[in-house]
Amino acid sequence: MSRWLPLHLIAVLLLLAVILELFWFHPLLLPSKLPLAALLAWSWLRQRGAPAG
Amino acid sequence: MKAAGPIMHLFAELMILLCFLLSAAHAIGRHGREGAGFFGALLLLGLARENFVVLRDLLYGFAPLRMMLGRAPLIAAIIWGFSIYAALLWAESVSADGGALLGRRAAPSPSPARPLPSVAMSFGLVGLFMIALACFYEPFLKRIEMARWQAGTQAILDVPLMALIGYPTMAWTFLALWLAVRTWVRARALRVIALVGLIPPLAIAHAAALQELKDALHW
Repeated sequence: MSRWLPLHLIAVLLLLAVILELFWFHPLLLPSKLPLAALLAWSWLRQRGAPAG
Repeated sequence: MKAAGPIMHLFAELMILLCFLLSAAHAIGRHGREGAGFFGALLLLGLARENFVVLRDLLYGFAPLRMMLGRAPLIAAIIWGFSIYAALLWAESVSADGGALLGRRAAPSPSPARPLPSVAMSFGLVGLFMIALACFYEPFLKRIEMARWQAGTQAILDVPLMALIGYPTMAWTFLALWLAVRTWVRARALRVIALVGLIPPLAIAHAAALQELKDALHW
């Protein structure tokens, strides 16, 4: 089974929070999401670059 | 900026509950009985930790929420498990050798199941991810008025400094305990007894130590 499901869930939560903050709360909170977004992006880029199997 | 109400709190509770259940199913699907045990241990950790925080009035309080587990909100008890499992999988995804702390057989001898540098690297990556989660969760929880840190708590960009210590250390201490029990306790029944006996004191000690540190540092 792929290890990605929980990380996708985190990404969905992150996206929902960004949408809520953009349209409902305060966009100044957005930088707090950057560390997590960067770590998720790093792992996905590594995964894309890894040989199959 | 609009105020967050009970509907937003309920939405957050349901989202985290869904994430927890899906992650538990993922762990069981991937690791079978060990995955179930791992998530049971994480649930016990969150349950003990957050109930102690509420009962002793430590660190932070909560808005009135619908779903409770003992005296603590359900969301607070289960978010630890979901977060630590996600951090573990993320560490696995970026470490050079796979870095799995879960799902490998314990060594037949009392020696560690995995070489120390590899475990240390995995722990470092888990800590990094937990800090990133603190940066994500805490400002949002404050904005929707769901978690309320003690008055005077020091924060940077709405991230309490204590959270930057508390999130990774909670994961590290739990994983260290899990690995130690898995490595050195061979009989399954004894493992369960050891985890049930040791996790609540660990959770309580972690919350109490954080409060002591917070008071000492005036954070």
